[in-house]
Amino acid sequence: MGTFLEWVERISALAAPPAVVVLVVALGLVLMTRRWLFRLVGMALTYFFVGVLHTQVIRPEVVLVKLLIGAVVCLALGVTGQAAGGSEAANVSNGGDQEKGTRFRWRNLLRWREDVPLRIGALLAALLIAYAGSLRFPLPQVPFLVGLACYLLAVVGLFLAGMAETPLGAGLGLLVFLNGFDLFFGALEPSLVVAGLLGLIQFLVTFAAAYLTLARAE
Amino acid sequence: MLALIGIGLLLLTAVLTYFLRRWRRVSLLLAAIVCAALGLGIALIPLEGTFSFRGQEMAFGGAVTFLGRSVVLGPGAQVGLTFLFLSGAALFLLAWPLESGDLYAPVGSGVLVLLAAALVVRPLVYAVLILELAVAFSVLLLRGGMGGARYLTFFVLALPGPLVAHWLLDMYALTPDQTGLLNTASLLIGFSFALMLGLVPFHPWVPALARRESPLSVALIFSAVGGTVWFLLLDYLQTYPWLGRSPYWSSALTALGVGTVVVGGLLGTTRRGWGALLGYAVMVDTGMLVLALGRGGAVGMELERAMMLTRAWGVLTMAAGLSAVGATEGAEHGRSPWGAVAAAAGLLSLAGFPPTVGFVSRWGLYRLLFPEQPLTVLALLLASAGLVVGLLRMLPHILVPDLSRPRASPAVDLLLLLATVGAIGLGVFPQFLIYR
Repeated sequence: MGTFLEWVERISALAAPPAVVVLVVALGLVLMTRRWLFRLVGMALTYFFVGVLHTQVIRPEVVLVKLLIGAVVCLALGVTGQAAGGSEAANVSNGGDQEKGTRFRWRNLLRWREDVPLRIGALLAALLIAYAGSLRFPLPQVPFLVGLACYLLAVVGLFLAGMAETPLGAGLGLLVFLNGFDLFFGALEPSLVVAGLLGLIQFLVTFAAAYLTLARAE
Repeated sequence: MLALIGIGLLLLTAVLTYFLRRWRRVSLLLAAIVCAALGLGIALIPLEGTFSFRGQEMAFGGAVTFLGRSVVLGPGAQVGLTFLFLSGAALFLLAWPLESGDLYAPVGSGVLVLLAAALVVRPLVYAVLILELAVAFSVLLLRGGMGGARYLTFFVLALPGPLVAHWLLDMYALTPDQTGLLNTASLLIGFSFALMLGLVPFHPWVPALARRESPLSVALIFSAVGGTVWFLLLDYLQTYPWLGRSPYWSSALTALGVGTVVVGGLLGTTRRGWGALLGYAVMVDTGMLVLALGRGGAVGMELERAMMLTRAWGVLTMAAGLSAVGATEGAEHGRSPWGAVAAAAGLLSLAGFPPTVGFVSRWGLYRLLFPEQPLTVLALLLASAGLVVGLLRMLPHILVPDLSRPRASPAVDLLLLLATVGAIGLGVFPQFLIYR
């Protein structure tokens, strides 16, 4: 068992730099694209790579539980997104090629928002804040890269929640923010009860956002 | 032990009312009766009293361990639980004829269970986590939309502060020479409570929530969830007395309190609907509560508790009135002349207008502040007048009866009359509420 844990530790240390890079890509996907499926993929990638980073600060078996929570949260988000009509674009007119059902176009695949330049700026600002923050105010008890990821998740989560036009968008922002905090707090407080309660809060926030979205759609 | 019994009974009620949800009035009446019985029981049973269970002598109050956590029912939690259960009873009773949602009783009871657990569980870090669960659960009472999302957002953003502060305080216990840890912990706790209370500049969720949602659901959030946040803040001050001894404490609370009152009063003069006016009135009242807290000492605490009780009465009366006249979206009730009167009485109480119940505690605060800060008192009075201006601008809309709707039932009229008489009667005879 000791060898297995050492092996996991070594792999997670090696995987930390690529994990942060993929996290940036995933968060960019959630922040910028309009199509629901891609945002869901972004969330799933976020949960997975936060799990990879988690292995540096908490026990692997607890990480597995967190990944399971992430899977259920993504499932709930997927079902809600589907039920609410596929994407936020349903509420905001954007050409409407897809709605008219004329023909498939590759350029519609990602369906970027009109405010993409602003969102790219927000992502760059988040990167800058996260980097400067982790250098100037390094988080205690976590390695540099994990601290950087925590800052990044928290700032992008705040931006997402602040710029959201729908309850589900706000819910995504809150979940990203909670992921960042969970990554940091897991290192400070190893208590399983606290980890469980934080997971439960993520569940309830997901269901609350789903409820607000679907009740509104009705 | 008494707290555990109460929470267990309410949990059972939540489950029962869920199965009875098709008989909406029965489930609401059941929830109201259980909450009233629990509130009175916790208020009247002496905490030092004992009872025998399976041959073991057990105390009503004191600490017990449940699932590895400490559950403490001290005098502070006793007041908090009484407030919570009696507010719940009044809300369920008002919802009986006024609320059309099937899930009000089960979800409301569930929220009260979580809030009650947050008031008695120790250490406080668990209380904050359970409060977050209650907030996320209370969203099920809402109709959907961004108001609820904003409410959820501000509470989630408030979560990290107390948790990290808890760790910092553990570190301080190990290294008492690092006083910087205490300052950071104070800042984090203060920031989180400012978010949860909706103090300026973190106030947008308060009017946004009240604007489009059912008034009685909003009343449950403002009175029960808001009340629990206040009781937790008082618990923090009792557990960590150094928080209140900071040299910046009083001036920071005065600045935040006056800012919230003035912004609430100014926005209250605008005509953005009855729901928003309720939100602004709550902002003004919250600012006043913060000012009372900033005064500290026994008088400040006494005022604080009195204001919480009077605020709950004002919010409930106004929400019931708004619900009855259908002043917000989605109301489906018959017309009631007493609705407009109750809405006006509730708002005047929240504005601290004499002779309503809100004036009693407000008068105490003005007298406390006036010798040292006469200009602050002037600003507070003007801000309260802003709400009255808002009321005068909005009143014509509900004074004109909508004859297309049927007349409300006598039960609605009776409840509204009782709430209004209480709002004015307790202002004229405040000794029943405060000086006990």
